[in-house]
Amino acid sequence: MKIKIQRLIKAVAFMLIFVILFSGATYILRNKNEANIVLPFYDEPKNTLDVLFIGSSHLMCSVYPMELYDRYGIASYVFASSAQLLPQSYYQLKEALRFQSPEMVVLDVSSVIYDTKISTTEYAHVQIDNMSFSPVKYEAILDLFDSGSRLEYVFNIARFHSRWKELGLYDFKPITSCTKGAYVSTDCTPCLPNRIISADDKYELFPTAEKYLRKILDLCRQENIEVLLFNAPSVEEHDSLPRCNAVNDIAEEYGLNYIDLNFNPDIIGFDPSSDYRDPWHCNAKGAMKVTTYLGDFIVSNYQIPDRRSDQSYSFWNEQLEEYRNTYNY
Amino acid sequence: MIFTSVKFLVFITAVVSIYFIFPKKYRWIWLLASSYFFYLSASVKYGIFLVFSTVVTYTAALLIEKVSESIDVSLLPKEQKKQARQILDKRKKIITAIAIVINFGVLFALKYYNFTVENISAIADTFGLKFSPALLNVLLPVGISFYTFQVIGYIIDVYRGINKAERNFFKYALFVSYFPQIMQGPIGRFSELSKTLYTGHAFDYERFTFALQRMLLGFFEKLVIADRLAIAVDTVWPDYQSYGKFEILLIGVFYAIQIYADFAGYMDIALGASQIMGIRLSENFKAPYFSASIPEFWRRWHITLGSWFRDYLFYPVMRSGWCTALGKKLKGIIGKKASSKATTVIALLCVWFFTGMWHGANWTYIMWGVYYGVLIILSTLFAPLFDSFVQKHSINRDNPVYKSLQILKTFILVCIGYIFFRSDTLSQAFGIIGRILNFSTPLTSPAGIGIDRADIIAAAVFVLLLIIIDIFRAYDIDIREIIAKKNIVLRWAIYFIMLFAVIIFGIYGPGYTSSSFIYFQF
Amino acid sequence: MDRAEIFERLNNVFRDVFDDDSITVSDNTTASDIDGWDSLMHITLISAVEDEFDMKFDMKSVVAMKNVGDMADIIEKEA
Repeated sequence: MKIKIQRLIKAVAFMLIFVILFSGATYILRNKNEANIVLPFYDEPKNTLDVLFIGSSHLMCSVYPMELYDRYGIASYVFASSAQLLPQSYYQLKEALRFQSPEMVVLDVSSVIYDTKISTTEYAHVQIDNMSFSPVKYEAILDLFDSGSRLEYVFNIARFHSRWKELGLYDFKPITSCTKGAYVSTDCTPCLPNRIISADDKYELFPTAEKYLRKILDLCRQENIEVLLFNAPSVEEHDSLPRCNAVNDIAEEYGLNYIDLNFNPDIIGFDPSSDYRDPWHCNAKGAMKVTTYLGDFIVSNYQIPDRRSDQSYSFWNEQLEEYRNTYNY
Repeated sequence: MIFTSVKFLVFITAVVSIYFIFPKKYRWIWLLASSYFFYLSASVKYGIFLVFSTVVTYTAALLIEKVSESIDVSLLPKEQKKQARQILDKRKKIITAIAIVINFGVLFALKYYNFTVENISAIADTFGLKFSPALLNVLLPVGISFYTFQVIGYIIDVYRGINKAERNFFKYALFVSYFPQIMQGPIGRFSELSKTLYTGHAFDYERFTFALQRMLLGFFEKLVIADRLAIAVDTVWPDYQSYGKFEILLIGVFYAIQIYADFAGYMDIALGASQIMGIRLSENFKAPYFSASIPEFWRRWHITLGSWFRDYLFYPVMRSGWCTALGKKLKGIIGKKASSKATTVIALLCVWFFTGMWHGANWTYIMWGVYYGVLIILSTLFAPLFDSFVQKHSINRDNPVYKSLQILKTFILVCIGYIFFRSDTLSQAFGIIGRILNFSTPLTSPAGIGIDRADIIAAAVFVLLLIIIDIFRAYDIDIREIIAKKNIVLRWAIYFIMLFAVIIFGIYGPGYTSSSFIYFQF
Repeated sequence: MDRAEIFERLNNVFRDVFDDDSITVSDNTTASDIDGWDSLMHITLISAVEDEFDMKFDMKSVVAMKNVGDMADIIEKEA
């Protein structure tokens, strides 16, 4: 009997050590794309963020939450991931709601131009791998991927173990960032302005995109969260202008505001020859214009508290100082 | 369901867990169900051939025994005994022959029919004749070469009286289909396997840990070593004309290590998985690359196949009526020793032709088999000459330098054999040999061999580890016994290092290249 | 024929077949004890023993005999 208990303890201990080593190896080996801007989200104190930006890299590059705090006192985070489509955004939002109870969600709808659940395996990994392990992640994996490829998202070491030969110091250091999910870039690619289309020029929404857009809106309604639909400036591809135009119908149906900065970029004074990092993303110059416009719009249309004088938000001031010391644009 | 898959890990966990819950008396039934599930999960259609072979040999074995029992020879008067025995033997022989012909017939039809027809029509073509019967378009059932040999061995053993016929059909079906060995062997003998296959074994903690260690080693050999080297071999081999002498020779050695780590790794997983449940399978390898001669190599490489050919082909041919008759005839002409050598040569050529052919319906395999046949014939023919040479120059056979050179010589000969074994066609094999021998071939080439420097270094380290493990195996020392005596920290450190060596350095999963992020680099 | 005589004659056969006058076999002698006793020599040995004792081994004996003791048992029974 005694020996049996001893063996049982040994077996449990062995499994425990295995799990610890396995998670460690998984973290070290995994590709850390965007981890530095997504993972700090989990360090934010619970229920302190008032506005969440959910979407793709378009958001990451065009909205700087630290500026929103500095100018308007808005406590926000861009919880986004490259090439994240609306089905992924649905789970990204669900994941965020496990930790935060925001007043408002700004949803990036640029991906309505795709009809699939994910863009590529690589980008799906970027999103899913940066998610904490939870039932939401499991639900997302079950929904987004076919049965043959699910395992590599649950145990992403299956895909990334061969990275052992390219490990760097970066893979072992703890990840920090003070941008609150923004990717700050001062690169510039001069681009041409988009064509101008009429308000009636619109395509129908893709079924998958529409389905998940509605799921997100229903979820927010159920949770009493205000939604602002948003599309950041980018050079048109795949007939994105008329496709995004169709979002207006949904906005009307749900009684929401929809800002498409591709439709009328002049209202923010956007200059395609100097405000793009690359044809899909704003640089700091463009981002400042977008962020200012959004800040003004949010404070004048929604009830978002100013946290600058709030004692419990004093850590934001320290982070802002660090941010100013790090970034100069 | 291949052993190195998540599916198999789930399968073996379920099989083992339920095995120990089942009532001891019926555990073999659970194994039968698991084995058929395992086999049919590859393809349900294949099951027909497996069941057919099982039914035929099961019935034949019972018939053979019935014939034996039809007359009680011991009751007969002495003068009738011999005659009765002969009659019985003849009847048994007929049944055995029919069973063998049927089983080999199926194997031949599925595996060799197309090959034979193609060759005959090619020969007919050179004589200006037209011969082009339809080719069969069927996939080869997995493991058919292995289980066909196993059931034929069983029938012959029953005929020879080495073991009794199994009366319980389902027990016999388990012997044929037992999942650890159905795909790639070891080719089991009923007299051995039946000792542990049917009794329910209690769970044994010690045995369990040893079995898991053996499986882990198997995964290491297969995923970390074999599959890593396979990338290089698969890159260079078909495109050998773009590579220099150095790369081709290196790849030859890589392939020798790959095929060993692959096959022996598979065996370690199979024997380990079976050992969990207390069922002993025959060992198939014993550090073969430490052999000092080719005959020794074949006693340590794919042991169960070698012994099958020895017991069921070589011995019967050597002792057959026509072979002894030929020996007697030759004795008068060339003397006793030479005549025995002559018959041996004939039997060996026969054995090695079929050994080659067993590996696949391709002239490359036959060439590979005959190559070994010739090497073994030469070594028997020249053994006395060589012995007297060694004696004359008083060379010490136990000298480590002499031994090492013998091992090196054997390894090189084995590598040359693999040139035929791995090549798709004979012309490719000869092309590779030509490229190595040709003076104008450059020493090295700038073309990549498919794996980078980091992988080559990793492979070198892991192969070194395998060599150390094989030294223990060569001396019959069980490393697990040594590890078991160490303290728990060291012991567990070894387990975790091996475990994570497989997880991190194994070749598996969908693969990753940092260049797959095309447009957004963060 | 008693067992001592069988072994006496077996010794001569072994010495002749394996070309080694120092061989002395006993009940427990196996193939691994004698240099060169592989599957090829096994058949030569079997035929030589059969000639010496004027008997015949069946295939079961050829395959299954584990040591010289087994061989002597069969000779005792058959010859």
